[in-house]
Amino acid sequence: MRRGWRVLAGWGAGLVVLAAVQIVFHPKAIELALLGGAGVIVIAVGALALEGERRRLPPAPVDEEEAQTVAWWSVPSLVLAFGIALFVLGWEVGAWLMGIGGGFAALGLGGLVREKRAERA
Amino acid sequence: MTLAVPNTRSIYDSLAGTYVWVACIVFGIVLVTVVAFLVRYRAGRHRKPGETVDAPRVETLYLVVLAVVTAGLIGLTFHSLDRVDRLTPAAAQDPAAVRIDVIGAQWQWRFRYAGSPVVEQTAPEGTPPELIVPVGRRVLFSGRSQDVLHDFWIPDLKFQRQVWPDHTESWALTFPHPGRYPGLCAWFCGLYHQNMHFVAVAVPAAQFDAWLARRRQGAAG
Amino acid sequence: MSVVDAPLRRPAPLLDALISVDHKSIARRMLGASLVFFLGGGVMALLMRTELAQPGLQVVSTESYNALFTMHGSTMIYLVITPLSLALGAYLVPLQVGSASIAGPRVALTGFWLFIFGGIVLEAGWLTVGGPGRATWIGVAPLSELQRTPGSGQDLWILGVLIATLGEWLIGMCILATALRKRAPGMTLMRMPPFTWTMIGTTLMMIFAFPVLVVLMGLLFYDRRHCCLFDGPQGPLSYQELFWFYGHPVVYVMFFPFVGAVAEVFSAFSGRRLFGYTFFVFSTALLFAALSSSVWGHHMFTTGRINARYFALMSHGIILAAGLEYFDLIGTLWRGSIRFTTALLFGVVFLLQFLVGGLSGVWVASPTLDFNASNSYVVVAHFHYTLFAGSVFGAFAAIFYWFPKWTGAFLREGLGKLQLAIMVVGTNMTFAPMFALGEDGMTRRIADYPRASGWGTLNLIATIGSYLIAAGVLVFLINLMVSLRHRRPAGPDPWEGPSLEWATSSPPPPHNFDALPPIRSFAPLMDLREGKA
Repeated sequence: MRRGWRVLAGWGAGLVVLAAVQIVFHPKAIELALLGGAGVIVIAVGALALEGERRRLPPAPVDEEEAQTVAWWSVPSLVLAFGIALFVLGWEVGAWLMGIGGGFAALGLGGLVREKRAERA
Repeated sequence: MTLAVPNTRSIYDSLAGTYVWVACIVFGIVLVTVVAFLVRYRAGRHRKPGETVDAPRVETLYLVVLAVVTAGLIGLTFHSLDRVDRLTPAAAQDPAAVRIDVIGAQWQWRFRYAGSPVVEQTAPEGTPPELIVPVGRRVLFSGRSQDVLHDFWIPDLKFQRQVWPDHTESWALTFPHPGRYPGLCAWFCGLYHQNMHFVAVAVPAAQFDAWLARRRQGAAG
Repeated sequence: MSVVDAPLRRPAPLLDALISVDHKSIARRMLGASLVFFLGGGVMALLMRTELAQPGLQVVSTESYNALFTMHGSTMIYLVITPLSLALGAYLVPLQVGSASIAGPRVALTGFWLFIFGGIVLEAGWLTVGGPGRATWIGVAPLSELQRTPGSGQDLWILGVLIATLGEWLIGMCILATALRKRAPGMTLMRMPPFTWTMIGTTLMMIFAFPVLVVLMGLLFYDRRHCCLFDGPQGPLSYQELFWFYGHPVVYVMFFPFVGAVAEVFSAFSGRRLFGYTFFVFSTALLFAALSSSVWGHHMFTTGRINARYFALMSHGIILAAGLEYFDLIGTLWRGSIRFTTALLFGVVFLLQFLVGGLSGVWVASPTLDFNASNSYVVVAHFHYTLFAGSVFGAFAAIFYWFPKWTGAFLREGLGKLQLAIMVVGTNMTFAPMFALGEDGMTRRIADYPRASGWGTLNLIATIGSYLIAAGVLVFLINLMVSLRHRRPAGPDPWEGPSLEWATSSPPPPHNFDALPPIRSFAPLMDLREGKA
């Protein structure tokens, strides 16, 4: 469980190395930035994963109780997706749709937060 | 008669042959191996599957072989790229080179012979322009677009270049034999992209000079 | 509303279809949706091929054709093969690592619905007055700008791609988190099955590649509404750099999972563990994915304005990763006891056909050769050999292998082999001639070609092949219906598979496992069967 972050950090470092190889030829700033930046981001995600693993003891287990307390349905997830889709579609259709979409998205997010809290309780 | 000036066609042909051979050999090896294994190791002869799960030394050796082949291909490619890259500066420094401005626009081509008012362009009814060029002499193109991405492609010379607005790209071609070299736009540029053709007509150098002189006079007079 | 005892949950199909967070349910819905989009994209392809069969515009107008090829490519890439890859991962990775659920099940559900809504928005372009998006699946500026491609269809294309890609990204991140964080005790990194490792490679690339496309689509939409982001000498170049930074990894997102699936299929039906597991993990899952992220400029060789030698070098480097992967796959057949099931046969055909795609990829990895091949039918042949003759055949291998696990019933082997035979002939008839057409100077994205070109015969052969492919797909649909109607039940481990998904019922219960076998290697069920556990 605790080694997952190594995959991220190691692979991200690999990307940075591959980006550095660009310098041997005629590098372009945007190309260095894209690949190097990607590597840095993956390393950062690895650092986050490491931090998350350090804080959470024991690591996420498989056991009966966890299985039973996982909810099987989530309406807020669907509402959130619907809200985001309407919000984005509103860029085309009009600000009113963005408003409606934003409202649904907020409802969905709020519902998700509540579901997460209920699960932990 | 061999051509003194290197051209994109000959550079391409020498490289392409190697790549085709490597590809055929690799495919052949894999095909034969897979078929052989399927026949030899099919179930039904009540055999127990083998236990070896890896062979690190063999696989490392194989990796080395792959690396050598890859390095070889890269070396050949880099060499050919060097040759192609040299074509444009060589043409720019060549006083005998023909210089042609290329403008692509939806959905036509316009060619202007630099330093003269001579222009060939797509006719209003869509007839592709004929680009008269000399055999065996460098032709330096400077290309741009008036609107969207286009792509100047002459398949018989195995070469193309993208052109886009506010940017001029240069490339040099040499036409090794007399004849017609069809050309076309190779980047989707909208509704009549498929009609954006031209034809490069290569004629002996003396004939080209005469033609250009005549056209210059005609345009001036 | 939703805390329920796991084994006693009442089935409620409609609610499940809408809001179930069970990863298996989400994955099944994604598979179903991908299949529907596949049929739509396939009809578009048939229309295109029917038009191209002979010179002259007989079937569709040029305008319609431009919409067709844009939407065919967009549907297949954004709405079929990418979500199909992710669906396999969403279903199998939690099972293969011994987890009761996917990480972030609600995020995955949100992602699924975003994919669906995005697909609807994208295809809704067909209903607009001006027609759907028609600036290629790349949407390259300046052509995709408002002045050049006006109309809401193109707008909807941009937004649809944005929404769907966002959803796919979310699902990918859940799969990655599952593999890295929700493994059962004993399931160390180097005991994860090959398929899970290929999903890791897939989703690692997605971390950065998919958000780049989401942002780019946002920028393109802004450009259409306001101004000028892609003007000037750098504009079109920047668009291509950003697009292909997503566009190359995505083609490997559409490939790696199927290689992993075929590795599992070979392992099961050869009765052997995957050969060279360590090499496979490091070369295929990790090196291959890293290289895939580093090669995007090879789509831009003909601009003359990229670091060509670097991208040529990286692109050729893929020979090493792919070569090792082939060594391990073929090594798994070596000294096996091979059963010629439909899944295995699809896997073998995948191996050979993808190789054609891969070798033609080495061809276009050379800038000198690409200066001719770019945007010709050589490229069309290349990517259809990798994505269709390769990935789709690999997908069928996966489907025939895992269908009993997903549904508790077998697919018919006879119909499966018939489908394979028809599709092999049809596929090669369709795409092999395209190499010749491209080399002869036929460019892509044209509704028509001159009669004098002499390309009519090869195009006709290709069109006939495409109809054969359609017939093969029809056989598959029949197989699906027959197999689900007249079920031949499958137990938990009908194939004697190597990995944990076969240690539970078919289909698995909502919480996946009642008990886990000991995990001492990457093939725990083989260990169990051989008494090595």
